[in-house]
Amino acid sequence: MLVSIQLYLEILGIYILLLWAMYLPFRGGQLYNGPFYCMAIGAYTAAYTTKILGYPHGVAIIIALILATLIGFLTSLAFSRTTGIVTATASMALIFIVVAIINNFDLIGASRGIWGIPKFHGLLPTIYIVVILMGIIVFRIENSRFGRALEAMRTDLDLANTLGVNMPHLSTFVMTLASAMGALAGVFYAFTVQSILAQNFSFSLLLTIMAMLFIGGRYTMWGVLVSAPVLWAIQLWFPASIAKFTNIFYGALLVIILVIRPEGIISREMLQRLTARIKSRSRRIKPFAASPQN
Amino acid sequence: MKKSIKVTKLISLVLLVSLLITVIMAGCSSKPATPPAPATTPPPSTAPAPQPATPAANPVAVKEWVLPTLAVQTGPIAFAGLPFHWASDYAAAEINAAGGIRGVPLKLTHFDSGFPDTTKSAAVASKAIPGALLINGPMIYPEVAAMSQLIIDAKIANINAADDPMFLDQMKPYGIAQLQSYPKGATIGGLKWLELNPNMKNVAIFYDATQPELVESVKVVTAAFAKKNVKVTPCETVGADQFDFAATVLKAIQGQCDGFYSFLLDFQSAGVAKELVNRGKKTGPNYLMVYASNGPALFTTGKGFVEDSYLWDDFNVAATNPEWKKFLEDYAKQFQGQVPTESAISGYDAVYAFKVAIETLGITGDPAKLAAERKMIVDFLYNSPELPGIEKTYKYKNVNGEKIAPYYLVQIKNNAFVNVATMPNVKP
Amino acid sequence: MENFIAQLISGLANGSVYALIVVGMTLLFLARGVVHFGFAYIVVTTAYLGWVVLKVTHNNLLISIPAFIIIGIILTLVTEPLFRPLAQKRAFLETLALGQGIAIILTDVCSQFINFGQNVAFPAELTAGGARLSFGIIYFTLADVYVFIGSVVVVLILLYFMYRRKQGKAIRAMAQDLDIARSLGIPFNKTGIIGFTIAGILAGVSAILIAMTLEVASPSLGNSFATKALVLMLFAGMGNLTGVMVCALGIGVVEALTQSFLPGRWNDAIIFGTVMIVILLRPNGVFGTKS
Repeated sequence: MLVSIQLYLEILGIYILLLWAMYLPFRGGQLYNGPFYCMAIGAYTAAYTTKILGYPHGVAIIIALILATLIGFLTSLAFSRTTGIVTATASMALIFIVVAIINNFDLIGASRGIWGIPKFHGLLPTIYIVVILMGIIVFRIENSRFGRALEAMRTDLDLANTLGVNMPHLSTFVMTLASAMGALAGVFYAFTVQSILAQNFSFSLLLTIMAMLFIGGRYTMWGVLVSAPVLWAIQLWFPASIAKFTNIFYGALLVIILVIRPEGIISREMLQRLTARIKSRSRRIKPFAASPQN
Repeated sequence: MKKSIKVTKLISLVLLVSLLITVIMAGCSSKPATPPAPATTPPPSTAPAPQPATPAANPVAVKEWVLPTLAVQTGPIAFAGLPFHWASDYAAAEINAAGGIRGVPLKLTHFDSGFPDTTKSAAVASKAIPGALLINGPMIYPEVAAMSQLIIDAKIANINAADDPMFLDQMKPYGIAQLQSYPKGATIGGLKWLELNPNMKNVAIFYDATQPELVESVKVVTAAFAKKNVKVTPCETVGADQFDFAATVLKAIQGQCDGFYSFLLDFQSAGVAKELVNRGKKTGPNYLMVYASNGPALFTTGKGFVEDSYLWDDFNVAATNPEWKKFLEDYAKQFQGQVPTESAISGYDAVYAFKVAIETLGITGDPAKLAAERKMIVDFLYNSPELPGIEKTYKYKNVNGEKIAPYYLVQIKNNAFVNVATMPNVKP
Repeated sequence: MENFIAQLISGLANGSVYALIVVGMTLLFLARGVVHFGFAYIVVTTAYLGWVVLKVTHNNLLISIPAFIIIGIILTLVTEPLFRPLAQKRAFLETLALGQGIAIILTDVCSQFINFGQNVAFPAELTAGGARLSFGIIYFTLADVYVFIGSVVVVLILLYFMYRRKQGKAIRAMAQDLDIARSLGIPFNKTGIIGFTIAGILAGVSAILIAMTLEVASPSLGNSFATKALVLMLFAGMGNLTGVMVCALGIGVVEALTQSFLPGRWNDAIIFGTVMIVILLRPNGVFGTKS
């Protein structure tokens, strides 16, 4: 498979994991930036264990996942009890703090980063198996009582409380899951590019993911499957003769889409209409097939 | 009120469609960028090099040589990469005007390495590498780090990779340095400066602590200065964005420093000099700057504050030979009066290195022989014969991937550079 | 002690630069409910374009200073209609993505088309305020004084406008409750345009003051300002003009002190660590959210 297409798909998978990780707490009204610092921790742990300690990749994935999720869990304990702005700001601040700590931590290479991470054969299928798995998990959560509870939390916190939604518990659960997804994204990033620097997991990645999330439509989980491939493809395959204008085109695209369609490409209403149409079609077919009187 | 929003949306839709049409048309036509006018002087002759292989034995199998050129073209530090692309094109135009390489024209393909998005660097490299014999660029450490595994897997030489020796060591033998070793240059230049200022006892070093090779250089320089009984006070800045140096300079003053050594960029070095003077310290022969400080700001914001200061560089910025003068003129015409940056010179030299490699080794460009010819080029460049630099006052060699050429010490007198010393690149 | 005072003064000067930008963003937040992430970039682009004007008119201050302000107004007003659909939907977070799009475009405009992305140096006519006051190692230029006073004056004027003038009260009313304000007949479009125009004037003034103190501008200046400004806005209390000003000055001072007494590499960690701890202790922002 062409190396550039393989790289494109691997990074796309990583972006999708991050996008869903941001999406979940967002359904509950929280803007939690934990996936990013968990990504950093996961990436560095995986890199360190495979390159310097020499463990096999499977072991590295498990160790990184456990460590980063644990840290994500601890931070979510604090953040689940706070609201919107505070969670957003504090977790954003934490991204910078983690980056600064990594840059000063000589054991893991400080600002040089870690390079030469051993190759993981079969990375692409692994990434997509995990993506599909996570997609199923997110889908199940959305369409279960958890999803409804999250929706309630987002709309009106007090109402949710009176209805018996335990906000801290639910928030912590969702944020920890998001942290785990971020950790996996980090591990896969380390194995894909095989070279990591702390600045890779910093504010600019946050902005990129946010742009993809909002353009895709932040109220459904499917929007990111449209925006991520397109926005990432632009960066990569913009015609070389006008490469100077890549960023200007990208920025203009962001602006124009948000003006034309502020709710994102795939909006809640669009999905509801689609599902309603599918449901009505299946309702028309069913009685015909299942009528026993004939 | 609704109407105004509808109008906005309509206009935006029209804009979007026209943007997309423009991009698609541009993509389909893919006209290459017009190269600058070739120089009328004959191209520099290749210096005493090993005998070229017999042409008849290795006929050229391609219609044109392709050299991928990677450097930033967009984003906040586009200024670092644009001269690189331009100077590489300039060299290619010269070569083609003189008949190409082995009679076949040279074509450069340009890629945007996308700093600060290093993921893009890796992705762009994956596009540039297939079919190529050599990769030119991208010169910035985080970008090379992201690309390094792809380069190693493809077993292709990467010239102008970066100049961090510890990192290039990891990439050997595929990573060829862009510039000479920073720690070495900092030490050699620094020691010469100590000779010229025998009364200095305590030197402040201003550097960006977020860059690993600068941190490394400070360590090396401190050790070397200690042997001459000169103390070093490190004064760290917080990053390339820093625009105010009061805090950093106050640290130096607090440390009772009488010599000042700046590892910073041009406008930052000028800013530091200004702060020092404004707070009652003199700058002059006791102020030393590195090659990265060579830039227009020294003569605009820094005017008057850096008079008599020293600067060491990988290149002879006060050279006088005609090829260099022509390059200076053309560069000034293209970039509105500016002086060539180190990246421009490196880009130019690398294209000629490619030419020399092909001619000496008798490379054919035959796709069937790609792996073998890549290896030949890797070996050739990793320990190269003397290669010509544009300034002709120096030639350089690669020894184990490290560039070896003299260092030059210049002084600013009457707002212009004046040669002071040439220092050979030997272990200090 | 002298050293400490010197650091303090330089920190206040830097903080004033941050303050100007954050105050402009807060004004836009009050006027339209948008977080205009691109505002810092508008200021930097104004400075760049102002530099071009200075070059073309051979440093004629009489033409250039009004030019700065006009350019600031134009750039800000151009972005106004872009925010309308989102402001209508009260989509506060999407405005971040929109602002980022504007930011990307403006950064590339500066780094591709003006001076080849090199740093631009502002001429002595603009920056040499003349007198420098120094007491030993403590010194500040007239420009530093202008910036500090300028930012305080700007905030005072804005406060007066927002609390005493009809238009200002209209803006605050819209910020408090969009629907009620509209039903009371406060025009949505006009209020927004006025708010953005004032912010545009502010952008022009900020650009001039930044050119005076920093004397140099680079395309990556927008990045560093915008990130800090965003965190400052969130941290100081959304929509709180005085709060944001005080916090900006505070951050400037903390930065200066951290740099002098600790290795520079810890700068970011200390600043954001402070931010995180404070916001966790005072969830409404340091000074509380205000309309």
